[in-house]
Amino acid sequence: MSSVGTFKQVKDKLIALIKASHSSLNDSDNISHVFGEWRIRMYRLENMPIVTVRISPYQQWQLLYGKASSGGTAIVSWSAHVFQKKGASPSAQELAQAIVEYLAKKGRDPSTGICYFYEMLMRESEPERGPSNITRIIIEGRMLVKYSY
Amino acid sequence: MTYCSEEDVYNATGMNSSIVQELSGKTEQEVTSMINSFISQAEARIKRELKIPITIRKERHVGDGHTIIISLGPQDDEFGIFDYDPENKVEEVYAVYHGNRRVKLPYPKDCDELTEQTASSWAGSNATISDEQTEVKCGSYSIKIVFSSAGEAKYPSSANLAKKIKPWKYIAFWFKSSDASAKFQLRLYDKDGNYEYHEFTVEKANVWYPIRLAVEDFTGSIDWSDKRLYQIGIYANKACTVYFDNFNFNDGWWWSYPSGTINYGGKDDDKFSSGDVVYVTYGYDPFKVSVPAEIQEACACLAGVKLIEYLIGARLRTTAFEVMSQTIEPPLDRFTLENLRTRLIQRYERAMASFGYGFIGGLA
Repeated sequence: MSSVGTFKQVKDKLIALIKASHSSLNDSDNISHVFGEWRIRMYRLENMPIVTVRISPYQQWQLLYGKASSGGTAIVSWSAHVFQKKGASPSAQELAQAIVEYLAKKGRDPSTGICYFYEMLMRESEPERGPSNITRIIIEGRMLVKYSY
Repeated sequence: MTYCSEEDVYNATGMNSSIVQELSGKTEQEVTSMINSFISQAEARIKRELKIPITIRKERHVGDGHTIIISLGPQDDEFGIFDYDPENKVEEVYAVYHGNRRVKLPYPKDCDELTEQTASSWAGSNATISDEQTEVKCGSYSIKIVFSSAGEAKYPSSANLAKKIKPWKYIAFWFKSSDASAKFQLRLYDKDGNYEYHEFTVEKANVWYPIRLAVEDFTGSIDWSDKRLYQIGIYANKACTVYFDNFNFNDGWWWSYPSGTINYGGKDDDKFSSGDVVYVTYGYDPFKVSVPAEIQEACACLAGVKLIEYLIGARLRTTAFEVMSQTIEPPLDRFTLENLRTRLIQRYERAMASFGYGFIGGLA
């Protein structure tokens, strides 16, 4: 049995799901809008909206303590920072709403072990030193992942 | 002598060649070359800000009836000002006044241009000509001519000097031969290839001699008031190796630097008469022979500023156009380099202040 639910698989799928959640986040003409890196090149800001994704933490949940297991479940906490220009359509709020709805409805993905998304919350947050004409919405949530080695 | 070394720049900045190579993508040699150019730029700025070369106006020298080579410096100063020490610190001679007469500036004005790294413009028969950097009397180069047998070396090979030499009475140059029995001619050519010549010899092999000739004593029939000089030639009657430097046409005085001397012109055995007075206006660099620690530090700091500016630029290529992905703020670590650059500027200015920069008065 091939491994599923690994850190990389889960993150890649989360990025793919967010890209699919709204037409303005789809890749087009070699332009991406969703990123998983800690730093992004400044010129990316020219192509709003932008969503940056981070997983923290990926926590394995062992049901049978002390027993070597070939798999189990993991609670994966994640965050997505949605940036959009003020006044643009769709707004950052609309995008965040679309992302949360999409993940809640279509997030299940047996090929990567993602069972479902839950405890998702959204909040507005202005970056202290970021550009003033950009709105940021932070989405935080968890997903239950079934993993196997 | 440069004001500081590549190593001084590394010591000021905390960098080293390998990290600069890694950051810039340059080879070790290219990094050295770049830092040396930063050092040259720093030196030029320090000189400009301290008003170097410092001009000495009408420095007095008195003839003793024997000496024809006079070291520049305050030794004959009638007011006893001995707190500067030029000779080898001399950068450029601007004017010589013999008594009340201002001596016409030599041709070329630096007394050296025709023999300074000009070997590629020479042509010879039985003569191999090269630029010489070790056996030098003026500037950084002399002309080395190896005669395989009787032959001649001519400059310029294209015979295009087209210079009216009538205003100058004398020709002077430094000359050294490997063979004291060889006889030489200095030849002056007109546009048709006709020449006048003057013979000369040296007393002893492998010793530099100042050769002084009067244009009117040349053998030939060219009237230089009508004709221009197109080419000069050095003829030797046998195989030997000679060095030729500091060649000039002059009106009685010519000069050699960086050795820092003015030389009496005239011809053959003419001497600068005892009691005659000559005044010289020239510029000197007080840090040419030895560099004080403060100037060394100032130069290293300023060259370091340029190095850091380069590295900031090198880093901009990759990191400065990035933002933190969760806040889209610029990363803070970029400021550490800019802070170092500012500190180097401050150190440079403090070091320069010890020589009067930034104050009214001071050295300048």
